[in-house]
Amino acid sequence: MKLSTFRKAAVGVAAAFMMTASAGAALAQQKITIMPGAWSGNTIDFLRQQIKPWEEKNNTKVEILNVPNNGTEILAIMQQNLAAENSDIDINAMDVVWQGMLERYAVDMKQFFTPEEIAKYTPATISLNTIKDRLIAVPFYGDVGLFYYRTDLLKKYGFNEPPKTWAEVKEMSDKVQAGERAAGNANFWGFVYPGSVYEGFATDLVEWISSYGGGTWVDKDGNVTANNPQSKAALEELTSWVGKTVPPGVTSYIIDDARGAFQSGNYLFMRNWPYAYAAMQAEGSAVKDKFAVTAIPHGPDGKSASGLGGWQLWISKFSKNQKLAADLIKFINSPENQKDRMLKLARLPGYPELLNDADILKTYPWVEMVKNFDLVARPSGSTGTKYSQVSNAALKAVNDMMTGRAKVPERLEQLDKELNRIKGRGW
Amino acid sequence: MILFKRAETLAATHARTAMLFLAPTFLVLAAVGLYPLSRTIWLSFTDANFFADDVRFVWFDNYLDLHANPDWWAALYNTVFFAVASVALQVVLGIAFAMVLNVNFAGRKFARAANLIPLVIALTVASQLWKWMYHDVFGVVNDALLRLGLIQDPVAWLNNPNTALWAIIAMSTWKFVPFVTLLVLASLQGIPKELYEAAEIDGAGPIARFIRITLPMLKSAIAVVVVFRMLDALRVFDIVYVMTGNSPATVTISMFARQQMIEFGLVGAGSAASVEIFLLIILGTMIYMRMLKVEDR
Amino acid sequence: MIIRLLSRTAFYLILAVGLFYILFPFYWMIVNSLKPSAELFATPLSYWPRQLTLDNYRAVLADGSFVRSIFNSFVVAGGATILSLALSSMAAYALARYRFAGKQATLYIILGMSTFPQIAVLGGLFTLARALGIYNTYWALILSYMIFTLPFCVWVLTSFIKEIPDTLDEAATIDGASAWQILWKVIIPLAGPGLVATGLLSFINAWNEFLFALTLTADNQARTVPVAVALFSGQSEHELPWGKITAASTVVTVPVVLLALMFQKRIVEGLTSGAVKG
Repeated sequence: MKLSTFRKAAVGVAAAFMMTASAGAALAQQKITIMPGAWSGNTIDFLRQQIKPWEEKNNTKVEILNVPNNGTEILAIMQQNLAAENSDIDINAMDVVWQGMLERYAVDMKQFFTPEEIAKYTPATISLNTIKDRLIAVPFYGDVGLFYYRTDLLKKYGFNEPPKTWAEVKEMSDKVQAGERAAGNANFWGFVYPGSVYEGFATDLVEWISSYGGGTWVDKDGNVTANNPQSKAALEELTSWVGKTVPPGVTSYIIDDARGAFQSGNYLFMRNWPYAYAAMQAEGSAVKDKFAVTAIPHGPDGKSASGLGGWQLWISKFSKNQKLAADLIKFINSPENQKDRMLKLARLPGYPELLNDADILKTYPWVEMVKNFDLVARPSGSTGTKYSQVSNAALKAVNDMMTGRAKVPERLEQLDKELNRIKGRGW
Repeated sequence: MILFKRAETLAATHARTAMLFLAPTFLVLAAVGLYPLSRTIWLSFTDANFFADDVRFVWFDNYLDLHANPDWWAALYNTVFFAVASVALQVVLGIAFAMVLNVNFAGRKFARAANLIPLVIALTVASQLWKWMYHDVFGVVNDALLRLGLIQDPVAWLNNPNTALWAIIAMSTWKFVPFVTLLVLASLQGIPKELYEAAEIDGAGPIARFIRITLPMLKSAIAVVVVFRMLDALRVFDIVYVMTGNSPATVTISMFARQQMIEFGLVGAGSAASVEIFLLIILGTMIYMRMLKVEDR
Repeated sequence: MIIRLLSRTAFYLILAVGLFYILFPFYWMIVNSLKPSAELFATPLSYWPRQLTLDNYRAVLADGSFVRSIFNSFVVAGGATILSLALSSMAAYALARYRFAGKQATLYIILGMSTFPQIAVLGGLFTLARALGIYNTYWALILSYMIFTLPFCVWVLTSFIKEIPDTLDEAATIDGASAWQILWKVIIPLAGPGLVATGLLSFINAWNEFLFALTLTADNQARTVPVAVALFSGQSEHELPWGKITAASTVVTVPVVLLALMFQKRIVEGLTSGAVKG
């Protein structure tokens, strides 16, 4: 008696589980799934709102997946999905350096976009995303490296202009940091940036060394150039700030951590992307109207160079709804939506004509300055499918220097060897 | 004669039934264990990768590259250091705590129940929690040490290469001391009281009793626990992944292999690293099985 | 006398320090999950919340994908446990009761498989899931979890079944029962406590698994709690998501802790026989 009840119960529970297990997969309706990038701030929530009219019009549900706010991890998960030929994901994000690694999984956008539609985007980004004559992605938003500074504090300590060189950054940081700490704020630091071992920091690194005239690890022809006197000087100087001008915790900060730190009011300078401007100007922000942006500082022999960033959208060749997905991308990138994202989130539009928009220039006076920036790109063009390895090797080397595990000259020499080992017979 | 024949048939029937009963288990384990493993071994001799479809057989190139890669050796060092230090701490603290919980006192039930808590918390959850406790500005570890005057300035525990691995070891120790406590407690309860009484009559103090009776009686249990925990610690992934990510001061062999395979798309190279991890673990497993004396079952 | 005093002091010292070490992180998780964010990010920290709020819990439970991951975890851990118990009770019965050639090798292989490093089978499981068309479904996880739940269950159940006197089997055999009937009608009911202990532990192990879940799932369809918690990125405008993380951690931990406390004796039994008895 007891036995049969036990058995029935066991069989029942088992059957119930197996049924739920199979039912889970069969919920699909008309649906587009987006795997987003490391879009800090509330870009994803904002995008969800923007997409709503399109969802209603097309009777389609758009799902934006939850991903870590970390480009390196997103790439790992994305590659995993592509290797699995996962047809559940229609639209993927692409960092400005991933083209070489992902192109064979992307469909040609020229099937869905007319030449007129394509011509509206910045020509440079279109050529960046054109591989073997195929347009593999279209820009979602652009990014350039900005140097944030506290206007109120510089004024308080008698500096009338923002710093132009790294030496001035150091000088101002030392003075303000000492002053603020003496005034009782023990947590005050001079400078903060996203220093974690991940792709978000790789742009800062090429800004650092190229602002000293030290190149970008690997040059356009694919030669390893990591170990040179200028990059050595840049890294000697900037990594020595950790623990003095820069908080020691910086080696685990991702972009949004740096933004959060600066927004707390305890930092004088920050390197970040434009989105931080909108986030920190929001109501309730402790630094609202107390900061401004300028170009990335430079070293004694170099000139200021702003790191090129930004995200593209592309369609997976495994997607079963490619046409619908392309339509959604067009909607996402309608001039109104692009302008709205710029006004609310400071996500730079992919249409250059919008940079002349009066509303945008009024909200962000610095846009005029940004148009004239010299840009520096991470060495993804020359390293192709091996870019992840190159970037990881450089990031680890700099991390070793920042945490004091290794001396700059020796570690740089070692990095040069490592990059050559990765290069092997060629990129 | 008849009896003998019947016995023979019975043995044959038994063997057949046993095979039948074991078949489903074997089938599933072959699919989820042996097949993937053989595939990894095969791929480790090829240049399979995420970026191209054609696969070439490259003999031992991946293994040679692996051994030429300083990152692999650094990861191996981190992993072994982590395993040895955390297991040593777990065993020492586990024995101490088991001795305490073996004594009859009010609240013993509560303490034994509390002991189970770290054991059942998911490793990633626990790692997030400790990451928060180690936070350089808002972490409770810094706050407490500052209040007690043990440190002057906050420490970035997970960033500083001198403290990062130890911070992870402290977390892993917290998670697994209860396991050691549990197993040691079980064998403590098997030690006959008479042994202690006899020793007390002989005038042996508590320390002498611990060294002369308790430790020898626990020897086999401790040995098993050490190997069991070592096998787990050498495979560590979750904790480090959550707490320090790719930071070179703490990267482990499992993370190295995953990075090669998934992040860099180098399936062949990552497989070679995985095979070496497998060999390391199998070596440990053989020692473990020796201890369990499977043949005595 | 002094020695007695010393050892009493040592006793209470170890007990106090040990309990503090074990319990404090758990306490800290709960307390932080109840703090408003202004208090969470104010130094010096408050060890007892000045103000209690359920905001973090509201935020976490309003997040559909997190709630879904809890459901997913239940299905995956439950499915893996039921399937391993079913398969392993048969295997364990054969191993505990019958003598046959190759029995030792069988035990070696089964036990050895439970120690396979996950990373060494990850790629193959991935291909397998893809070939079977179950990538990013519950089945991918249920099946891959067999590699650790199944050997564990076989191992522990074998020792439990061995403790059941075989006179009962013999009586049943004389009554003409088949091996299948004996297993189902005699052994399983008697091994009930063993099944519960084994099942609970394999459930907890499956519930906590991370690397397979990270690799074999793509989205909320099948993503389980450990992955959801590890990938937690508040994506919030003004603050680091620690309030939500601690709340989410509490939500997923409290049930498992309660389960463990309710079945304390069984779990201890299962753990000891899993590792040591052999």
